[in-house]
Amino acid sequence: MASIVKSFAILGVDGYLVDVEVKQIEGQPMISIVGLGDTAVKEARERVQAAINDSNYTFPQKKIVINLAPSDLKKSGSHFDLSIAIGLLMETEQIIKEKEEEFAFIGELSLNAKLRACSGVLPMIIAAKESGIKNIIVPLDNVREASLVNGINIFGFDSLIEVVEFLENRREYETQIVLANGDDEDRFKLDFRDVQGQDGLIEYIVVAAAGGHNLLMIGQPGCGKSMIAKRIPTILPSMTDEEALEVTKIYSVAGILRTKSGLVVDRPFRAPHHNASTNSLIGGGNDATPGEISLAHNGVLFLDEVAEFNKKTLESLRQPMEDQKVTISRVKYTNTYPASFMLVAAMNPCPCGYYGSDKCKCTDYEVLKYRQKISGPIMDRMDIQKYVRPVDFMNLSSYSMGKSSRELRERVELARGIQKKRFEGVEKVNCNAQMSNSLIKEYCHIEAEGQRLMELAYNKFKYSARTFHKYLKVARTFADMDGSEKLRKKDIAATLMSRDLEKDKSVMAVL
Amino acid sequence: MEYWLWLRTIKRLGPIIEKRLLSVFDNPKAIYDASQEELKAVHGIGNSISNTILSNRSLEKAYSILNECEKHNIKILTYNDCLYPSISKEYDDAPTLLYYRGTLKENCEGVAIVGSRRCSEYGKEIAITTAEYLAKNNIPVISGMAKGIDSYAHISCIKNGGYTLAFLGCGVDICYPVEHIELMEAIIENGAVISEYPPGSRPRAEHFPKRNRLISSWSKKVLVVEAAEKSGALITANHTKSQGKEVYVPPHEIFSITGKGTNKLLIEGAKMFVDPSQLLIQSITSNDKENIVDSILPKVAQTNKTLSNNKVDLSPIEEKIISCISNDPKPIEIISFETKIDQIELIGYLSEMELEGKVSALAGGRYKAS
Repeated sequence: MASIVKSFAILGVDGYLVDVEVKQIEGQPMISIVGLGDTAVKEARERVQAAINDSNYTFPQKKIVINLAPSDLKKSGSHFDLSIAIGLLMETEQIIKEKEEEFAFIGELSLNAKLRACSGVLPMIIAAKESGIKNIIVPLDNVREASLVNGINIFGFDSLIEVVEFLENRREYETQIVLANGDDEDRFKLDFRDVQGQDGLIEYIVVAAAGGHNLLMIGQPGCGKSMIAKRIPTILPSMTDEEALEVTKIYSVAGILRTKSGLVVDRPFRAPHHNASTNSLIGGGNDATPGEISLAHNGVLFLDEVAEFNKKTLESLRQPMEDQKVTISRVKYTNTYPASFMLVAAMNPCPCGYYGSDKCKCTDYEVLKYRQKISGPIMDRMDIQKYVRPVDFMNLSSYSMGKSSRELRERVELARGIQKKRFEGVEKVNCNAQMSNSLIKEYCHIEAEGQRLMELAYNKFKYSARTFHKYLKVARTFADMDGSEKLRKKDIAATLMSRDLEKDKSVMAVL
Repeated sequence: MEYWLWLRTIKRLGPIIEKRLLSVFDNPKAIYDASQEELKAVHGIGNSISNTILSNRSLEKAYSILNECEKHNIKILTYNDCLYPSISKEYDDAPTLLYYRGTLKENCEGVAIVGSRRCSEYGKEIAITTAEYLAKNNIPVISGMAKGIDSYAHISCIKNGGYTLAFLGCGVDICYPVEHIELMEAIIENGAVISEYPPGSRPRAEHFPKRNRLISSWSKKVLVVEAAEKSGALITANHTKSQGKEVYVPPHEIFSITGKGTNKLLIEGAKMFVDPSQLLIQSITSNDKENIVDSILPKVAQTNKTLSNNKVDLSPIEEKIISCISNDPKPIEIISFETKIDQIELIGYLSEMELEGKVSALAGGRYKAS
């Protein structure tokens, strides 16, 4: 009878249980691994052979077949090494398992039988829990990541020998001290306090963060767009455990967790360069791996110099922004990754960058052409578009210190709390920015004074119904920041100033 | 028509020789059919030119151009057409044939507004207000559809229901610069785009001085809004002067680089432009004086006055804001800095004041008192 050991494989961001079956058959000495493994899986035989020899066990001189079941699903990764090695030793009866409980194994073996950390551990542990497995042996370096899942016993070891001794009851498991994440306030090195003389702008950024509105900053080179964007994650409310787990899962699959090895607690901030390909942004590659939009899940995706991005690449953001998830199809895999992010973009106002100052000599049509690099539908999704003005360096000392990120975050959290309550039970809507037209009608009631302003604006700028709705959403967030139920005059006034680019067009000499 | 085109396609012939030929022979077909002796009888035509004409006796090229014209809805204006304005015929080098899209009116000579591509806000404002004034007085605005001043003049004219002509340095089927495609279509609808180059001609540097000459020869008066020391607008000005017409130039700050050329024109004796009414064409002034729309400049001064009289409407804070931005447009940050009003509050005030028409938003998020 073949020996069967439990392990896991990854499909998208989720893991599933894999039975590693090992059987030795009379015949020419050889080892073959079946079950649609990729090269990393196939190469396990060399590593396992070396590791078994190094641990002073004998590698069987027979034909060995290893099957990874279910055999019709493609599998990749080097984490099957440990389970294959254990399976082999059991099959050749070189170890006698004394422990009665069932164990699952994850881990890559080095040639001298050490256990190496591997990616995707978190989703595998979650899969283990779901399939009822109670005990899992992982590499020591993955223990922290693995312990994020409660209600399952994690055993971390450093080498193959340790694992074998543990299974044979020859070694007691010593609980590793898992360092908790420092829950300190100084977690962020950046703070909005550093941004001076921009109170008006920051107010809009806080609103964007509070209502989940996408934000476009326009300003001349060096005016501080990137500086502000980098600080936006510091005012977003901290992630719930559920959100953090989602993010960690994606990072685990993408293989960028290994160095951090722990729960991702900070909201992600991703800033791909404008040369980024569509696939790197959306996700793709041979294994349909997550792209920047998924890595920015629950956080901020910052596109600096957004006008320089490939037009097609930008367009590809539209659908994931709408669905908050993205499905990547490749020959081998079709994976769906979550992608709910706040889009923050920055651009110059015109080709020369100095529009609105005497320095700029761009003609209105040139300015328009430059701005058209961002298509209407994308611009449409930018609820808030604000100019960023360079702060007069000579006067810097006379500006008062800005508000700290902590103060701002408290306001954001208050507004988010109100929204959470409001949208309880409404599917796929978490914040004001995601409101549908019917929700807008239900929740956006304007006070009489505000109504007057809205009408004035409507007559003056001839807004379409669509633009009107957009304004209402932003106004809703302004009101939420103060906990007001109705949209006050103040909210409307501020909202009508939230789309600077649109206003520009009305003063341009173009047809 | 094909014979007119044929005449234009002969490489060595220029407008002067062409017109000499046309004055001897009745029409281009007669030139096509003429023998060498008949041709040589014309003053200034010797062996080599007559040989060139004879050896080019093929209508193939003309037909292909005609084909192109039909495809792009391009019309052809020949020298003997009654739509060809007489003032532009006064010059020897007036081309015998022009391509155009749009509609030409009889006597469509007007006033040219030209200037630099890279212009200042000041120049832009002059172009816009002047073209508006001309449009309201039914005077055609002529320019070159280039970036900057030219485009602002066309746009403002069209916006105010005027008639405008644009002379191009390329075929009329080509839009140069490309971003002006909407503008070009609007000009075709509200006037015409005209070129002496056949369809498909690319914009080449050497085309533009000739185009500038056309602009000045079709105009009664020329306003050079802004020009650096070396610029196409100056070429137009020089053509205008040599054609004996008046060049108007607004004064520029002596330190401004974009105004160097225009200030030089002033020194050389161009007329100082201070009011659009200077550009009214004499004949019109005498005919219907009553219909002339008042000049804009004094009106601006008036509105300023009425505004200061209406201060009762303003709250103290609004007054403070208005006084801060009455001269220069300023962005919110500066207004807040100068008035010491909190930025967030200021945004609220400005938003409301803008809607009530007390202030107006300018390019780049700056505000100015209306």
